[in-house]
Amino acid sequence: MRIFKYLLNLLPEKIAYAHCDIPCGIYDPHQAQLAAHTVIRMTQLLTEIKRDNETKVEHDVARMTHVKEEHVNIIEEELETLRNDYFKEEHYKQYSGLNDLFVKALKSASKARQNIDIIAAQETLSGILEIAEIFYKTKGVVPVRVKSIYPTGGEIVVYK
Amino acid sequence: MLLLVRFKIFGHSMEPQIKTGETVLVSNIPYWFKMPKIRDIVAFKDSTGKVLIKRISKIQKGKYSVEGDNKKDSLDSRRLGLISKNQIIGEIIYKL
Repeated sequence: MRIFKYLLNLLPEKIAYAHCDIPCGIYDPHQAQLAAHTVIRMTQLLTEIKRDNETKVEHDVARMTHVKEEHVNIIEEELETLRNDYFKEEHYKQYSGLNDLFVKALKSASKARQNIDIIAAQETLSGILEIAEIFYKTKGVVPVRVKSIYPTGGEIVVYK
Repeated sequence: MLLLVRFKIFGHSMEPQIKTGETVLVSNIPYWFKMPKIRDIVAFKDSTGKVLIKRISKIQKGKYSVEGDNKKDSLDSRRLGLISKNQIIGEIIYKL
């Protein structure tokens, strides 16, 4: 069974959508920003871990890795929702780099999931902040970068 | 030609059977030997080329009506329109 699953994992992976039919109009890049900060924090904690108690280390690494995985999944889901459901053709015309921002943020998120890679984690946040700024502009409000109150430092984008 | 592809699912319309973030295997091999039938879960391309997954709910004059299992949260043939067999890229044969 393990070999079967290993072989299946060698197959190319694509994306399929099981879309929501209720156009609720509630979109927000905030969740993706929080998740990106969480990925940075888990990456920091994984690099800072002290190897003084083997059992505890194994336990902590498993938990931190699990949370990192979960939050990359949240980033992917939130970004795909904004990319496919919220942003329309006119937005992509007006902000010509928008699709590239999504591609780069999703690729660096994937890299941050596969590795303990603080640069990839920070690049993910950086891309999401730029997407958030464009999102708020399309909503007719003024985006503002403020210092985050999280242990990760860095910024989040809110609006005036 | 698609023989076997893994698709990662985004969206809630096929819950509880297939949840967002899960991965499924899609193959067109079953449809070499039979036609798609009611209750099959299929991956298909919409008019923009985006790949969606839904369950076949009706077959009318060789065209397929599709719905999500999660009726309160699914884009269905009332908005998608009926789909044709050549839009169907395969059946979901396994959930990883």
